[in-house]
Amino acid sequence: MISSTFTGMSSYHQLPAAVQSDQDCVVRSLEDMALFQPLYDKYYESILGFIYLRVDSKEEAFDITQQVFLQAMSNLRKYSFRGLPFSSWLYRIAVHEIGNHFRRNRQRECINLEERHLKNVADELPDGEQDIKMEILAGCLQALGGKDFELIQMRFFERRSFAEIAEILGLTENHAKVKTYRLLEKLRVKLNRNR
Amino acid sequence: MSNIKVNRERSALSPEEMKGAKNFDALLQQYQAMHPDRSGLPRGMGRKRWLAMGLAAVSLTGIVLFGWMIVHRVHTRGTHPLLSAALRRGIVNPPIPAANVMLTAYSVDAAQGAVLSYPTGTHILVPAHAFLDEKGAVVQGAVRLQYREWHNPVDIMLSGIPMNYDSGGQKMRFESAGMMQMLASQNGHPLSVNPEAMIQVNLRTTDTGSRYNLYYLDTLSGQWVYKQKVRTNPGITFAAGKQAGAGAGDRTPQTDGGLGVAAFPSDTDMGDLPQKPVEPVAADPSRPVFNIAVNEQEFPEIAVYKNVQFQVTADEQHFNADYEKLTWNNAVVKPGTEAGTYLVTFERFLNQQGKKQSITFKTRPVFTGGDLAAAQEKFHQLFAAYQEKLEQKRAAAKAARGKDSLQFAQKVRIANQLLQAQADTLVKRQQQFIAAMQLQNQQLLNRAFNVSDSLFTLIQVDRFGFWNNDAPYPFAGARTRKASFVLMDEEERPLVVADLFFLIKSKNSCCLIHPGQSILSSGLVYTLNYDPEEANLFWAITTDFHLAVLDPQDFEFCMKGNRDELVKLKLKVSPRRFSDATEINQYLMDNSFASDNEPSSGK
Repeated sequence: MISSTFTGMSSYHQLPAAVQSDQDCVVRSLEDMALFQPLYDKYYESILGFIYLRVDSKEEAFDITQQVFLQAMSNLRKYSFRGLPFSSWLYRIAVHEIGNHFRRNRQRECINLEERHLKNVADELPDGEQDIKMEILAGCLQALGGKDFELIQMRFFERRSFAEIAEILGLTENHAKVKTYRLLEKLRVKLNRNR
Repeated sequence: MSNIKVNRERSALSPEEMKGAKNFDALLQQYQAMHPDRSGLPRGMGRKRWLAMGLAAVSLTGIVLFGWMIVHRVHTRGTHPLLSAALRRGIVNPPIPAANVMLTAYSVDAAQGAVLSYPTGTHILVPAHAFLDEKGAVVQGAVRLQYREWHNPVDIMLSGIPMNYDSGGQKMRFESAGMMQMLASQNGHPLSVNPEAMIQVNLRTTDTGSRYNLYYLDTLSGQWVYKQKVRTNPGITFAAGKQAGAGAGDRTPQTDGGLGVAAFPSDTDMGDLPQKPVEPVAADPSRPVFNIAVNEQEFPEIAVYKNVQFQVTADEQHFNADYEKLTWNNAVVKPGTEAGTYLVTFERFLNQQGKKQSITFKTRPVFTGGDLAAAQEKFHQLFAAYQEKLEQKRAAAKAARGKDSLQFAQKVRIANQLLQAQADTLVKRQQQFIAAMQLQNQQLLNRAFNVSDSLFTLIQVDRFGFWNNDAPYPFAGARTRKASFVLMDEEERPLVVADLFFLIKSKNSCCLIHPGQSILSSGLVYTLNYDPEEANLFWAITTDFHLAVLDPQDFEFCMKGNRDELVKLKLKVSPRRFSDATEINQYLMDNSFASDNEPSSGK
């Protein structure tokens, strides 16, 4: 059910006016889906970037991105406004579509690592343990596990807040925090074994 | 994670790649192809939706029981869950979205303007440069303009548009002579009207008179804003303007006139060709030659020459020089697989019992000495003749092909025209049918609600949104009485409805009634002022999309002798759910005016 009333809750990374503007666009789109375009224009590149970080090729990223927006339009009536950015819902759909993609095509999942991402993770390690070799860190990240790596990716590669991570992954904010720090501890243990 | 692939330092997506991949038009087309009939209700929700609605109804009933257990305690509007959904919803809320009048879309060239026609007879005059973007700049290019109207109480009910009006603190209801909504956008971005080039709508209206005013709905406050007294015009004439057709909202089928591929004459099909003469070749002195007499009829290409000999070809590996020393009894010549070659088979008998030896060689016809010169001269003559015949054949074939291809193209063109004409006829018939249905519905309702249908209201649109041609009338008057009632079904069980509408037969009006501030064990309590001299009736839509009706006679009966007491209004609930406007029209008409004995009414 869609309520057009905006209660003035604060929302991460966007001003309340921007969040309300998105909601107004959603309401208009329910009458005429052609009016969904402003939302498409606004979030296309960020969704594409999110997906590209998680798939093997650009072509796959383009296809899945288009599928995400198609799913969003097809299921717009189920969208429930809770004062959070519309993009959170899009990211959720994207996570789902990426999983579907790998299952449908029976492909190996893939992770994409860059030097700067690895440095972000290394910076989170305790002092004295940050001079880890990137190759060892990459290997330990690879060994973490699909869901665990996703959490690391969102927090340290993409610099998302815990609130946003929670919204995208369907967790509570506290749960997202606890999971992330446990993962860092797990990673630290692996790194120490490999030094 | 051993089955996970790792990419390191992969190339990033460039802005050009991102921009190139972005295509909203393709996405929208894909969406529309997947959901061609999306008109408000989610597809495929059917059973789940009814289950959800059923559970909601059960929950509401449970809350009513809880209220009864609290022994008739009165709850305030702000806390009780059984408040009308309309109180919590926004300003415009169609009760059955699928049954609401759909927006008709037009494509307008903003620089040129257009004159648009709507099926009810309304005309929309869009001057050039009538649109501004969000920054206030005049818009160029194609603009998507959307428009729809509501004229009769059923349409008004299904529109979800509020029909209450606050006139300086006095509460009024609207009697409508026609409502419309207009929107404009470009590439999904909403536009506004250029105050220097305002759009004029000649809205078909159902009534006229000095009591009618023009109002615009402020969707933020939910209040109607008075604009002016209406101007009506019985006939419309326009200066010749550019007619624009319906745009993306139109469902004109696309035709490709495909016929399939017809067989077309082949370029190489020239029929029988003349025999190409064999070019004479000089004999190679290093290899043996044979003299063989050939049948002229069987080998005319050789027979034209004199003293033709056959020589084993250079690539023939089976020939043995010893064969020349033998006496052969027979030689058979056959054309070879390679052009200009012949297979010669020599035979000789080995004994009197008929045992034979045979050998076959690939050979060429050759000439020696002076025979070659003569043969070459002959060849030139023959070849010239051959060429001439060949050219004649080609010219004839080309002429035949040209004629056939022209005929073929004509056939394709005619077939395409026929297909297009059939498609156009079909579309026209569909449009005529829709217009006729709309007109029929409108006439049916107009007769029921005593309205005329041949007038036009002139509206100068200075902003997009909802516009109404209305005559307000007060909630209370000299003759009005106050009624307090609860809703029941015909078995006297409390009836919970999503929306309750109050109508007066003599007025083209349909007003949403909100429940009052109290709730009893028998349900939500409604109060309203009504004129007992009028034919009053109620329509309701239940939470699970059944229709419920209380016709004027039943209302009058219920109100007799119960002026100051709480009345139980027993509505007739439809046995099935509704989502189609035509069916809703029919059901409400059939069940609202069952009797001819109605109180006299006047406007």
